[in-house]
Amino acid sequence: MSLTAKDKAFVKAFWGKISGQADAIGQEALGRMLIVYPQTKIYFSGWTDFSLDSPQVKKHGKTVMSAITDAVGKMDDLIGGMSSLSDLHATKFRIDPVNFKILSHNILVTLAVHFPTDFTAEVHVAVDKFLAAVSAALADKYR
Amino acid sequence: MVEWSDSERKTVASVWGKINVGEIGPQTLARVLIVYPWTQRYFGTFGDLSNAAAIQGNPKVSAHGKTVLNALDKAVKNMDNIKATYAQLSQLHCEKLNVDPGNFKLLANCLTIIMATAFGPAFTPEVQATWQKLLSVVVSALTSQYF
Repeated sequence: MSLTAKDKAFVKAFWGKISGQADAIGQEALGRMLIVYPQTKIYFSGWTDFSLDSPQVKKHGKTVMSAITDAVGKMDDLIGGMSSLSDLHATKFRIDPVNFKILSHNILVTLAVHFPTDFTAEVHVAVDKFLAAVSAALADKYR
Repeated sequence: MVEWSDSERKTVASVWGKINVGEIGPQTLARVLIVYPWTQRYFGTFGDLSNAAAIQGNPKVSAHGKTVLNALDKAVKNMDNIKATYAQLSQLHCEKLNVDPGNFKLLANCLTIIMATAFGPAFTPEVQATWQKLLSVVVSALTSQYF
């Protein structure tokens, strides 16, 4: 389900509105995921604090969301642009790709909570497609 | 059998009490049809579904959205017996409506997001967790009579 020009325009415009809060969004999305889907904690077995305001959740949420924000600028070639991140996830982290879908869902929930007027149906479908494309690019090197 | 804590029961009752089915139902069904357009296959008699505005203004979508969301009331009022409560609806969706059960998850996801929009920060991770647990039990119950 490839990104159309319209999808890319919606994603870029919406990201322009939210970029100032990207770190907080990443923190909350990750935090929600760890609470609502507790099996995802398995990838963070060294962590001591899984609460929303844990410094570990804050730091990692920022890392993940920064990479996604980066991907907004690479929508014309996500597979190429995310190649090294894909290698990392394939060979080092080996996170089951089903979790990309889970995190994507929690990003959408977080966006809906904080941007109720801007996160319209049309923005929703464009961002959902974008996150799915990012997930596919991230899983590209898995096998 | 699904176990519900007192806190989860309270959360479900409280959240459901605040939901305006007349608004949330139509928004949810419209959202499904827009975000997952292949679901439009089940609504061939609904008229104009050609774009987001048409879907959101479509009176049949609105009416059916209310019907679907009202059916969730059964789960809220029968939390200890959701599977039996939805047995007939499950049969209906399989044998008569021929709905791919994958669609139940899509609807659940859209409902969660519409609720997040409506409730804002009051839709805490804990509320989200309880609500998604309820929806996954309903999804499972609706799938239970398939083949």
